[in-house]
Amino acid sequence: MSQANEPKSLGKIISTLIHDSIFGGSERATREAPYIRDAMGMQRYMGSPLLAVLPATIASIYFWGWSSLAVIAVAWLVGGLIEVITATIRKAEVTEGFLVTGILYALLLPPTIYNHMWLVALGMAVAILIGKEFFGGTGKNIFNPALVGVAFLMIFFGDDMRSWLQPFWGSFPGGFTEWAASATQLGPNATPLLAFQETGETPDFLTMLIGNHPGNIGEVSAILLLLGGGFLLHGGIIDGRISITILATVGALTYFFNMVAPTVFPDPIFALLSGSLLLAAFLNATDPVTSPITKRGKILYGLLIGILTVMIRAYTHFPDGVVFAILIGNLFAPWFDKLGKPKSFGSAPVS
Amino acid sequence: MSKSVGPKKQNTSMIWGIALILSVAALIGLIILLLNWKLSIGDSLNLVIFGGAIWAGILLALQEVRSRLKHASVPSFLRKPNDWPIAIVVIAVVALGFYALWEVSMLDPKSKEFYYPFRQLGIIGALVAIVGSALLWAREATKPVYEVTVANDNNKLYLPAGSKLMQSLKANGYVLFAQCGGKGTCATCRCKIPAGLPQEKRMASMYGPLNEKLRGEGWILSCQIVVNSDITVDLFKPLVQKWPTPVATTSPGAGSGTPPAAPSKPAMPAA
Repeated sequence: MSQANEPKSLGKIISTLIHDSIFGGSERATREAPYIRDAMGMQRYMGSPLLAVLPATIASIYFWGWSSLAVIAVAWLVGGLIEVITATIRKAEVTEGFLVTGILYALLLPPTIYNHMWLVALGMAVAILIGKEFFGGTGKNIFNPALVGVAFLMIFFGDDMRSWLQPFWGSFPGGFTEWAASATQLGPNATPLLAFQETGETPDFLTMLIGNHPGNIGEVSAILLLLGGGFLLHGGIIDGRISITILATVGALTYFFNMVAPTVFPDPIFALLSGSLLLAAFLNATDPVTSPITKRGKILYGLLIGILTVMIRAYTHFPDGVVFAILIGNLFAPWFDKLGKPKSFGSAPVS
Repeated sequence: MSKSVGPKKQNTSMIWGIALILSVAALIGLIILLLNWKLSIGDSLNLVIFGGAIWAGILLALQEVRSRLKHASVPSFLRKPNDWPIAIVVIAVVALGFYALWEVSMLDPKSKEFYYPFRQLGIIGALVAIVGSALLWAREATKPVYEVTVANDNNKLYLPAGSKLMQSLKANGYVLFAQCGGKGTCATCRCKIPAGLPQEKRMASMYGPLNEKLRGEGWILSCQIVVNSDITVDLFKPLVQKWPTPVATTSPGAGSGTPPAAPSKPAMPAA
């Protein structure tokens, strides 16, 4: 990047140096998915999602204590170990993909998971090994590795994945001086979506926006996730078609269904801000490897994920269905790519 | 040479898709009827249509996944007997995804809470699909069809109004080079139109890079012409070959003799 732009002034040189050392620009174009046209290296491309979830990660320390950071560290450690071993076996370079996978995986786990660190390690092993390496490594996986790990834990260790807590809230040091939020804190321990399933009550808008309610490690604070998503959209790292189609589909469906059956479907604003919908719509669903690359394919993919999310939230014992919805969407992504492929000009078949 | 209508051939894959959906739907309908014959006809129809569509979609999606995995560097121990191990891995992950939906299929379809919004969505969707496809079909059906005579071999094509001449000719087996792909810049698709396109309807863009001499001789670019009346086309001679002909006849003197190659005198841009 620095060579391409030919910086002139000292200030420009310094700022380019800082920029390059943070993002690590590269002259080479990528040869396989994710395809990058910009003057942007793999490292910077993978670094941007990390930067986008940074606010939510810092907030998670405040909400749940330092144990949430320990969960992320364990995920990174196990992911890095498996990455190094498999890269040695297949004689390939170690890629940074496991950092993004690890943090997106850890942010979707409940805060009490630190009691069972082996579960974190097991889920991460499933994510990297089955979700990514079995399909041929970075750029070849069909399913989002982080979601494979989370779905595996949600199905086989459902009870451990459903124990949430009331977060630290109200005072400044909050979780910054604590190891973990304790189960004896005041307030209900059910996430807003679970509470809606059980009692039909929803918290007010401001609570949902700020995130002082029980939930998974990184998903509670809607405003910080919107900030991260806005950063990715603004930087052109992700394509808005997927995220906005998912959010619009969920919003529209819950708006109309709420009028028909208000006990099953919450009001649309609550539906959009609750659960891991924002985190998944901005970060998991837009994974450049497992999502469609054609414009029409992206719209179809977003529609499918939105509809499935609404269905799973309403009609199953899982309070949040985004994880499963995106896994099913990943299955359909190659087909949607084929459906959405634009016709090349003048290529009528010769009979 | 048989009379053929251009755009019909592309619909075969669609017909196969519909046949696949219908056959899978019939199979699932049979299974549902065997398992639970107490459902009303409306409920079973609804289940069959939705279930069949979902199954057909999954089958098509899995086919694409398979073709994508064909060239991925999947570890060799997962490849061994005929790609079975990696297929099982894919199905296991798909099962993780569909595990949550399984519960939806187990719900009692009689309960109003389960059914109400989706039945309404289904009814509205079906109405939109029926009315929309009827409108589209009516528009296609009422489109006038024009007779395009190819003067070189006296073949007659019947093309719907609005089809592009160069692409329709290509679709019907005429070898047109059209190197620029229809942008009107290379003049390799040029032809003469002795009848059907009056002088006042010939736009400047239809001549493209042809020079004054060629314009005077009546050459015009077929890629810029949209069929809106009965016309006669006289194609640039050496290029009018059905594909099999130059391959099959190798003896000198058969047919026009010259293989389909670039025009001997490339058209120069007008000065």
